[in-house]
Amino acid sequence: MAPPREMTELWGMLSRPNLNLRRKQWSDSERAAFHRALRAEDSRLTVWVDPDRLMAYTYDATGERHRPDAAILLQDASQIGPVLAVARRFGCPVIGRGAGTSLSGGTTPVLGGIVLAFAQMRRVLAIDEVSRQAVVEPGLVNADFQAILAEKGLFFAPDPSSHRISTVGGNTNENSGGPHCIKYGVTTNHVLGGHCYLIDGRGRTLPTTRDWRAGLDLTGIIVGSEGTLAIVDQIEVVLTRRPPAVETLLAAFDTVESAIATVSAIIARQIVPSTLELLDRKSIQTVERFVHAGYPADAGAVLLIEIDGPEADVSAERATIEAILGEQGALSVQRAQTPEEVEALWKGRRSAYGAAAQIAGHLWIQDVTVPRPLLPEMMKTVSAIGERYGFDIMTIAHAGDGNLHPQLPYNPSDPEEVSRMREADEAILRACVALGGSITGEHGIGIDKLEQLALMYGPQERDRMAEIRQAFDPEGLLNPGKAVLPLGYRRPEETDLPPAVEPADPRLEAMREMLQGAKATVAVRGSNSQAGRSPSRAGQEELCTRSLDRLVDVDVPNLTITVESGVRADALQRTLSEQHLAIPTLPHNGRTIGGLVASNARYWGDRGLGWRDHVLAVTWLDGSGKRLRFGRKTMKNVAGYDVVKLAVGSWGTLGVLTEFTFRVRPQPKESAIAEVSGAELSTLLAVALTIRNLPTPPRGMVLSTDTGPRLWIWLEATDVHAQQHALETVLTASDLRAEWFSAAEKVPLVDAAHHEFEQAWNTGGEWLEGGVPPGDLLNDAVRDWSAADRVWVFPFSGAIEWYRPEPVPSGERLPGWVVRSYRTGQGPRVRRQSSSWVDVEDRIRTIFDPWGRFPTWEAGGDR
Amino acid sequence: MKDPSRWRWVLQETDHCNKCGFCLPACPTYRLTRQELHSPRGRIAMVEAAVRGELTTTAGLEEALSYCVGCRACELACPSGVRYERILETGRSLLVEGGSTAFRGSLAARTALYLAPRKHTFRSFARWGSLARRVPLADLVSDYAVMLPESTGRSQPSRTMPRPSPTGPRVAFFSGCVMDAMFAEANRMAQQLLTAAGYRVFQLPSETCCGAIHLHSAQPAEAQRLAKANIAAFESEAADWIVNTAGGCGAMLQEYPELFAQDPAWKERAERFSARVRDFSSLLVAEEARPLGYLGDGSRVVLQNSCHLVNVQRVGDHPVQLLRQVTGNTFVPYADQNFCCGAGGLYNINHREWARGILDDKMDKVAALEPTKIIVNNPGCHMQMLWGVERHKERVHAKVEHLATYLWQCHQNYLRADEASASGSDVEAEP
Ligand SMILES: Cc1cc2nc3c(=O)[nH]c(=O)nc-3n(C[C@H](O)[C@H](O)[C@H](O)COP(=O)(O)OP(=O)(O)OC[C@H]3O[C@@H](n4cnc5c(N)ncnc54)[C@H](O)[C@@H]3O)c2cc1C
Ligand code: SF4
Ligand code: SF4
Repeated sequence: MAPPREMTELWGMLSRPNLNLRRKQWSDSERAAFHRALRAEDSRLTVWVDPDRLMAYTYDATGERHRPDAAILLQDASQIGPVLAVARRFGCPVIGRGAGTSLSGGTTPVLGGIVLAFAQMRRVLAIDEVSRQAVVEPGLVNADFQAILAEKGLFFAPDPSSHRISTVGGNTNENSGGPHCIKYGVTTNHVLGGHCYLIDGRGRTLPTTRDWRAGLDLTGIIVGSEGTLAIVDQIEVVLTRRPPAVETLLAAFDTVESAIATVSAIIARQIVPSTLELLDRKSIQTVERFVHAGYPADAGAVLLIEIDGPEADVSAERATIEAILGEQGALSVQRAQTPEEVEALWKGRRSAYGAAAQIAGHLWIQDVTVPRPLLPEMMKTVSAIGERYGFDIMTIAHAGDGNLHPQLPYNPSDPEEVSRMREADEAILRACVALGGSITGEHGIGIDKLEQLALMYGPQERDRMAEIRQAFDPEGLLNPGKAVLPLGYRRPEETDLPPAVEPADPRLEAMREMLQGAKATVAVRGSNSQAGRSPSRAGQEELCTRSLDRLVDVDVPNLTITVESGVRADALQRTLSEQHLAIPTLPHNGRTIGGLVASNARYWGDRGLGWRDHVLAVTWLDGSGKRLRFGRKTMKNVAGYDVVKLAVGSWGTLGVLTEFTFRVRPQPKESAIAEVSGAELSTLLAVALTIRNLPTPPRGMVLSTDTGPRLWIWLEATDVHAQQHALETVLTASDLRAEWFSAAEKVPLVDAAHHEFEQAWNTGGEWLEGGVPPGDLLNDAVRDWSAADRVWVFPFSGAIEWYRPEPVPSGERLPGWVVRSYRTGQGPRVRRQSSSWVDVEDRIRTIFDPWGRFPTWEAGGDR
Repeated sequence: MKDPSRWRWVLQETDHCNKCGFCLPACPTYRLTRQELHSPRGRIAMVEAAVRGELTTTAGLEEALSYCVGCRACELACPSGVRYERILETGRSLLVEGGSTAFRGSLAARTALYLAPRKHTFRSFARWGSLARRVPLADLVSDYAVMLPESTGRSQPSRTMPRPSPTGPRVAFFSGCVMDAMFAEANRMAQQLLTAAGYRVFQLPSETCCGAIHLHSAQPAEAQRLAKANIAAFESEAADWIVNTAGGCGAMLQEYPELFAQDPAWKERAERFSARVRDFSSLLVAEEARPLGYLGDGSRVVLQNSCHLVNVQRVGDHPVQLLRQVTGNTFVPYADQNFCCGAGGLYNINHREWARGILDDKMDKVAALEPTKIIVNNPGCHMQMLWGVERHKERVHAKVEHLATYLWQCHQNYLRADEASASGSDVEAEP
């Protein structure tokens, strides 16, 4: 018998000579003391420590094994704090675990430690059907959640192919995607908040991601952090109404190129399907060999296309798509007429993984994204790499997102093949980075791509990520060796080569000089319209971004646009509408894009979570003048932390935002605005909440009391008549009537009215803002407003804005929903959403502004 | 544990496991516990470590392997085609070799193992057990007693036999030990149905227990001995098919070649035997069968499909096809009808608590469907569902019936209605 191995010994198959991850080995007595301490904390705890039982917690779907020191099966959240306290005392790593389906090694205890297994914590804690949101425990399996929601006509949009196994906690911590991302977005677009524990053992409420958040988007950065920042014990998520109609088509093509050309043609016709999945020739052949899905076996590619939405739109769009398929020379088109036929068309896609898995001992699943138009090129490169390294690579792709999964069958017991596979793998990653892509679209960095993160992000960005990690977890005990490398890691070639020099830009140079030489606080200003709302300091210097006025890149087939931050909203609006594109958060006014994003400006035409849903990449100058660039021109990107989220709503406290890449969407063909008045605020609000939950909700809505209670509803669709009809029905039921306007005429008027309202406090009075879960608006936004009060209510986000001509007297308590307030002659007051995050926020600010260049919020909102 | 290296061949099998987790939702013990230790993936990882000589303790491995129901749903769910059974048996053998007694089972289980191949004794034991249902007994005994059918069916008068076809395919009927001892009626009715469908059915007195429960109780030598006896017994007979009514036995008979991996001569004989083994439902839906009419009495029917019929024989849709052919009853399919009931050979004797946990979960789902009949096709499931109905008698008012019994009755109803319509009078279906 082989000698027993040390428990903490690593036995990963894949060697990583460059990685210097270490942990002091425990002696037997240390380990025993640790186990005793755990048991002493909570006698109900199920703790496993024997080597054979621990084998069941050594792996995830990545194919490596590392044994933990203990596994704990959590029954409820109250057990988490004490366990973390013991872990910290002993300096022991802690690894959260959902279903262990991570494909990047997220759950493997590479340095040993405690595995916290969430599989038994799987309750749905609350469902609020009016607000369309729910709170769940992390161990809830995605498919089980969907089954509960389906009964209510709802669903949770993230649908990774592993949905039958993977948990909402895992989906959240990996920021997972799925076939329906192209239309519905990824997990982060559907997480509202929740609750978590930091390594200090303290529980904290996750700040809301809605547009009435006061502080930094910490939830946004925890989502996708692979369990390295926090242990999440509750997740609050957005629920979506099931669409009334769905159509499924399967089209075959002779080449991948013609399939992708079809995708581009569909998008060019203003259609965003809910699914655009592609299988290449080898995948089709494998699927047909093992599962006989009925896919045309001689095709070069198939596209699985699904469209959903209101009946009228779906049938119009289907006709258009069928015409496009004809024009593009599809070899064959199958259309599902029954649920069974839908299943049949999906069968090949669903079994693509399984079929590939039958070919060899193991399957290596890669996950890269490129700008969508470059997909054919990337796929060609992948097959060339396959040939070069001797692998039969089968590729499936979420073609709508430019996200491809080359699958490499290999034999894990053959060291030569494993190392050859790793080489092929790195070649694929390099190729995608060269095309401006991301090395992971949805599976995460994990342990698997730690070193390769350097292919995509330079030392500056990587070090900032490492510091963010320290801001949450100073000792680095949460899931060490995952997602981001320790501070200061350099790839060997990075230390050999001089650092890349970026071309000098005199405008940026000037800003950098100003930052480096500043004698006082530096306040960043765009159009200056929000000066009084931003944090400021007496005697500050002002840095104006208006010189940054270039439109950098308009990539229509990719549905992205890159602009500098000094560009004005109305200028960008014009460019977009020439191309029939839109960013739903973009108002019609003269504010700069930088100002809008930095202040997370709320816009009534957006029914989602605001700017955070639309910014794909951001470039900024931090307080020491370093230029940082996070995110890519790709629809999906989970490489390292989602630092882009921190920029949105950073209010000039983290740096000068200089450039953004936005995800844009085709502008639907038709639109209309309904104006409803002549009723009480409460009546209008109640009806707005009903409209909010229609199967096909409007693009946006806002309610104002400026000229008597008035509700504006913004409809957009391929065919807007059906929606107008549905809306009329709802209104009639409440004895209300709509007056109809064209969007082109009405939207600028509403925008102007809101702009004026926002400025009202400059000449006296007090302006307050905040929000509640939308379902609570009827309690919180409906009060005995005095005749002089002006109120704007946003039924989609639950935001409330309130202006009163007389400031709130100092003794009077503010309503609970207020997060910020402004009065003439005073700096803004901010109520921190939860004082428990102050330490983390301060540390994050220090990362980006080590010398305290930028003004910060003054405390004092807590009246 | 002795030197585990002689089991290294199984690494080929474990290497195929990508740890994707697709098997997790299919596994009854994982669904019950949500512990990776009690998941197929976890068991595979532990056996792999044992074979690689990496384990210094084995209590957890013993627990994990002994609590596996052996339903093999993980194999059907596995996209990579991992043959879990081989890994499980390797793990068990490895532990037994190292002196483990975890798989010997309780006294009751060992009694069953002893009795199974001894048909005559088993029958009298079963009859005694049926009587026990009607006398008040201590809790423990009565707990088992409810699992026995009210009548073992051996004393019922046989009804009119259809006339055998002179030319149809020859079918050797494999009675099975538990089926024969406790549910003989179902066997007889299956024979009649097959005869009516045009098969020539005959029985061999020399058959013995299939050996499944021995194999799964880590007695592979005994299982091999029984298998050899059966292979030899059926070899001389020119049967086109070897048919049975117990999903579990059928699966074992189909997998005899697995027992003789090291013995090419016997392996070949086993292959010839196994290739001919079919479940009776497969023969009834086969093209060569004469279609039979089935008429119901308005029952609401749910199916508790045999795990091994579904996961090993992979013909789980044949019973469903037959149930759909019955007119006048409502067949209520549900998502978990192929999901294990917790019976698992001797599982409900050895691991009572867990078997009950799996069963209660199943009965929750069944109760919501309000069936009046629960159809089974394996004796273990039959006993387990009787127990379930007894445990949940306030909510579930259903009769548990073997598929053969049910179909035979429906066929009789159909014949009677046919005759009546020929003679013009109305006849009520017999309940
Ligand atoms: C066959 C197959 C198909 C897949 N398809 C897709 C797909 O289409 N799209 C996609 O995006 N992914 C896919 N994946 C990858 C994987 O399923 C997803 O990443 C999934 O979200 C992981 O969920 P899980 O519950 O298994 O989490 P785990 O793998 O257990 O954990 C994932 C990460 O989250 C952390 N974590 C888990 N719970 C917590 C918690 N409560 N607190 C803190 N940290 C926690 C873990 O430490 C780990 O880093 C697929 C995987 C497989 C095997
Ligand atoms: S489904 Fe198969 S490959 Fe996946 S974990 Fe289970 S046994 Fe392994
Ligand atoms: S045989 Fe059944 S109980 Fe055992 S691991 Fe497989 S699915 Fe689970």
